[in-house]
Amino acid sequence: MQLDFLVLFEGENFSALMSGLWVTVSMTFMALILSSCIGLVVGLGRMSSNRLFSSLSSCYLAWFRGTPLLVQLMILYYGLAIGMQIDLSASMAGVLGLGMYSGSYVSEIVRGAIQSIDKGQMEAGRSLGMSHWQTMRKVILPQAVRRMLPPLGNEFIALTKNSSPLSVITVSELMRAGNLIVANNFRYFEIYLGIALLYFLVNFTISKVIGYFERKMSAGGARG
Amino acid sequence: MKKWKRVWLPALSILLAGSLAACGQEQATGGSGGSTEDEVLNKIKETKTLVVGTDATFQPFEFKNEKNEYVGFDIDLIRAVAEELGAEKVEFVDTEFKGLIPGLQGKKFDLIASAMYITDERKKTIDFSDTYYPGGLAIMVKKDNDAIKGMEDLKGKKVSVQIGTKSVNFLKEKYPDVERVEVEKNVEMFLELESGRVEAVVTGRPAAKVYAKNNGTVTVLDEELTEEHYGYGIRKENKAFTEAVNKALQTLKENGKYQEIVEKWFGA
Repeated sequence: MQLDFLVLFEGENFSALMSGLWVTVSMTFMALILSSCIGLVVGLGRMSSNRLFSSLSSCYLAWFRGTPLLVQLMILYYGLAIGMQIDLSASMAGVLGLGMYSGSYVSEIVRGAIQSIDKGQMEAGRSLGMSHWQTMRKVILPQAVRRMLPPLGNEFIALTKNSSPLSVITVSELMRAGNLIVANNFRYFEIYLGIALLYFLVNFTISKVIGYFERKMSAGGARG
Repeated sequence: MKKWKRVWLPALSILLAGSLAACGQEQATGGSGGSTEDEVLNKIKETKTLVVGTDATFQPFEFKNEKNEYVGFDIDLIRAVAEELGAEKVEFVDTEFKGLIPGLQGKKFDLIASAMYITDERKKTIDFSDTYYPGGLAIMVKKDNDAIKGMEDLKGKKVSVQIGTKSVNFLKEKYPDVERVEVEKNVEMFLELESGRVEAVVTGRPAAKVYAKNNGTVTVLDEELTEEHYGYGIRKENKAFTEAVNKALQTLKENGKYQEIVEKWFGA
């Protein structure tokens, strides 16, 4: 079969792919912020001595890590609309779904990183007269963030790649944009290779950004 | 513990903001209840828009061309139906096929137009309009072949079918004395026919029609081998809307517009 990569630029194909890319990037970016917030709260919650908070956090983790993303999206977008007349927009449901799903994984990254910090750090902080939360914020978390970065990079990259189920809830993300073009011209190889390249560029950028922060933070830290 | 409040509050406010935004939207889209008339018909009257769910990856029924526009048989026909219903605009919501029925139930759109077969299974959850096109299996023969009028004439003859499709089982179970020539691809099936290695091809009617139209040397017999019909999916509570869609289809068939669209996409 003759390959023709020019089909990527035929008509509106390229701009359709670009708008798909934009949808993917912007939605995963917002989901990423939400997931970091949720991850921090749930991660701290799992270690909390408040029984209610810690069991709520455990339930959250068990539920969102234990069910597939696609199922959660279906519940959020279609289920709520059918069962409870709560009509979320597709992008709202998408960001919420991605964010909550990824948040459960981030929470374990947060917990793991915090628990890896030596116990003595907390004891030292408390003996200086700082409260538990103060010590957490000023001593433990800054150190923990450094250890979180590599697995967070993994999680964010996975999030970008996992955004394709969004097409089931009418979000025209990158993969869907590609499928629509393929359905018209049947150039599977060219179109999917183009999409792969776009995903790669996004994720390569993410890994570079995370790498930048890692270097920056290790320069400031005592141990490299 | 007090100190946790600082963490709790932002989290709660995120969730609240989400649900509030959701409520706001619901009021915006679903505000036209209350009257005795059909909800969808009322909405069309108000907004002059019909919102249609479709999976635009299925030539020639619905797909997007190089200009990124929705085109196809279903697209043209539903636009004509919408016009009859008094909607000036048709808004398409593109989603994967498995999202169509839940999307309809969740009121994300008013109607499904996506080459969907009317089946008893689907009828349990949604209603269908009258059929707007026959699907199912059909026989394709060369134009100059007058000997074959239907399935009965194919006994003992060679018939090409595509591996793994419904046609294979259909012939196996109902016409075991027809000699099957199983090929890998659609195209090979048609080539077998054109090169005279087989007498006929058994395949899905719409695809066969498109090929016959583009090719000109073959024709599709009218006999229906299996009964399968395409229909528009509509929510069960919108009986009056279903009636209106059926009436619109009827009108289009009477004034010739329907035939025009059929010929444009499937040939005469």
